Amino acid sequence: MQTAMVHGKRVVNFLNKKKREISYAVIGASLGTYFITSRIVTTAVVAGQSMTPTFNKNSIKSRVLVDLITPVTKVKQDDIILAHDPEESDEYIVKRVTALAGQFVEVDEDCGGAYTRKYAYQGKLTVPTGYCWVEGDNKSKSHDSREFGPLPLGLIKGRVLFTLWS
Amino acid sequence: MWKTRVTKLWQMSKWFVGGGVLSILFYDNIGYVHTVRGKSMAPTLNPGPTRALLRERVWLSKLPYTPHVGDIVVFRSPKHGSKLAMKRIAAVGGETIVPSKVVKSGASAVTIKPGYVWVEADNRDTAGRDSNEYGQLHEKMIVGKVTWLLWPWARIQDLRKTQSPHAVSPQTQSLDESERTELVTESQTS
Repeated sequence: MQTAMVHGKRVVNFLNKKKREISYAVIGASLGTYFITSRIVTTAVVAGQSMTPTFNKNSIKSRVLVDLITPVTKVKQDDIILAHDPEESDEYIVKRVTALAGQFVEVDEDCGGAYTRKYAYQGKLTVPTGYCWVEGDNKSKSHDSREFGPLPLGLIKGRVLFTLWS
Repeated sequence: MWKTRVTKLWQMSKWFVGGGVLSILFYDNIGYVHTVRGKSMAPTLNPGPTRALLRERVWLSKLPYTPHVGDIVVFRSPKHGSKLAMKRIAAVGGETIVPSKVVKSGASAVTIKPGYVWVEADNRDTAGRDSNEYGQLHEKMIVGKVTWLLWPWARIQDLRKTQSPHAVSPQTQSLDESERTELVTESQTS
């Protein structure tokens, strides 16, 4: 009788210890994952057609890997970046950096077929310090710096590394 | 063979790694001590002597934040993507403000777009470097809110209760600049 009770107690202690270990592992893994996705790399799903054919070919949304570590000052021309949307505070945009601060940009009218598209930022301008110029790869369907002007570097979250799958 | 080495390395370093990760998570989501640079927020925040130990330090809160007028915030500078700046919010999205630098020429009011704020320095003598120079600031450039002045000890205070030295109450808005200054000085001495 007594042996059974001692044995029972040992089993309960063992189970409690395992429960604790599992809780620690779950908490550790959650914090670790949160740390990695907020500071190191994260994934993003690209919406819309502004970056075809680089992303979202055939209307399948691409999932990309975003590097969050590289400092914003190291962003180079032709990098694709993930940034806060300058027009919708809670949204993000994925565009390509076509000009850096100090560089010259010339925005032409888009003479596509039946109509001429006039851009808000038309003509010639120099990108001011602290900003960059972004455009989507699909020029006719992209709402980008030609409409909302230079993008402040401070809004950039990270560089898009590659497509995980599309 | 290497497997036991790796396990041993992990046993020894897991506390450092864990501590490091937790510190960074705290830094990113709760807050940290930030050093004040520049005179743009004087007299509320003075940089004082440039000797590192004597520079004023504040608590920068990184808790979820909604911009409110009167808050002192730290944000990524629109002029230098990697540098931080500290100013006070003078207007939030949806509001209209008459920029302080243009007040003498009786200038146009600016309506702040949703998702943007207007920041101004407490020290009006500094050369721009606030919204008067670079326009509206996107909310997501804000890194955190300054809550307490922590150092030097003698000046510890809750900065959330402070106001811009140039804040005008509604009834003084119809007066011109000189009358307004008189009123402000009066209330300070009473």
